[in-house]
Amino acid sequence: MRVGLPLVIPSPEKNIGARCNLSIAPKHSFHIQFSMTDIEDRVLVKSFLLTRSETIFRQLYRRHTPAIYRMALHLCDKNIQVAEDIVQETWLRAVSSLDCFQWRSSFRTWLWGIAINCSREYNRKNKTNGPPPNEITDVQERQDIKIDINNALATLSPGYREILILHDLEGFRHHEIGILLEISEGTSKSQLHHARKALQRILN
Amino acid sequence: MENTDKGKSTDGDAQQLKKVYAMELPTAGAEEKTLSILRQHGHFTLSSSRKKHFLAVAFSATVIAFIAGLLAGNSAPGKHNIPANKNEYLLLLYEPADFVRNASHSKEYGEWARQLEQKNIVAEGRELSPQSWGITNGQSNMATVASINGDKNQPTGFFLLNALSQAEALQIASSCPHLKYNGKIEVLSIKTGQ
Repeated sequence: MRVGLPLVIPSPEKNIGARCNLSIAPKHSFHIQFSMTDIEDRVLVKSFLLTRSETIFRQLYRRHTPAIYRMALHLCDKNIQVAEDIVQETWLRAVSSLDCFQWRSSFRTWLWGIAINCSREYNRKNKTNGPPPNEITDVQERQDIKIDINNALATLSPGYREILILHDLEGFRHHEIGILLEISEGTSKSQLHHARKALQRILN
Repeated sequence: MENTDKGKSTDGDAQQLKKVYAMELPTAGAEEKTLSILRQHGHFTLSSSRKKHFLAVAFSATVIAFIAGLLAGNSAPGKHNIPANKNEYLLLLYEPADFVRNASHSKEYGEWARQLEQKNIVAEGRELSPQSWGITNGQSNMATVASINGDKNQPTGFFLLNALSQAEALQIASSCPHLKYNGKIEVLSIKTGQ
């Protein structure tokens, strides 16, 4: 029996939080957690690999690019041109190695991993690493300065920015952030705690 | 934000940050730029509309190349349209010692050749220079053709003909005004299929 697949799959942003618990047989006392986004991505990626169609690629691109662009923009000093270059490089690398993607993580996590690496490479080359590591102390010293929320993220160190964007703004879970940033789940939680505190100090 | 996480910023700030963050969108041309780069790297197959466009361009290019080839073939030296049932003959014109040279020769010869050209008989006709480069045994030196082949006479012009047979070629040659002035004509058959 042939099952028709939807031609247009909505953006993953609309599906954040729409996670499902799939219980396997009662004998096996575990369950797999997955989201509709992952399934839709899988369908699109497999279809793209089969057809190499521009139309299917455009769907994948439109689902993931806005978020990647925002992340790149905030990690690279709000430079629009650089953010777009990072998006372009991310997709080029992703499509080049898509055949080798093993599905050990979701497509979204894998793609974001590439995007974060691209952003870090850009920052390394251009040495624009944002505030120095003792940023919390600096912030404490100027607690009386009220910083506009637009620039609040930019004031944080790149590490704190990454974790805040990934967890609080893009909805990644700690185990996914662990895969993305190659850190443990515990480190991710602790970093997020410090990042939030730093942000609170900036905003108060 | 998850409620389980400690150190959460205030809800108002968080909401405002999310709102501000979500407003950032890539420019309109970014998608096409990325697709163009991927196309250049050959990551896509041609869509049906692009295939049609590609085939149309390829077909046009083939037709243009074919026409250009025909034109180039027609204008290339030594190539001309030979009627299917005819052969090529070369008339070599000699001027013996008793040849009467006249200033009006070239005009008369030209008129004769033009009439035959209109009937698609004469394809080419030229006057030759008395001095030619003779080559013997791999060495070249200024010499007359006559001195090379041991003949005192040397060709002073030629006509290239299309004729049904050698008899017709001889008949055409006999009408050449060159003979009126004691000139000699040699009729050579050019081998076909080469």
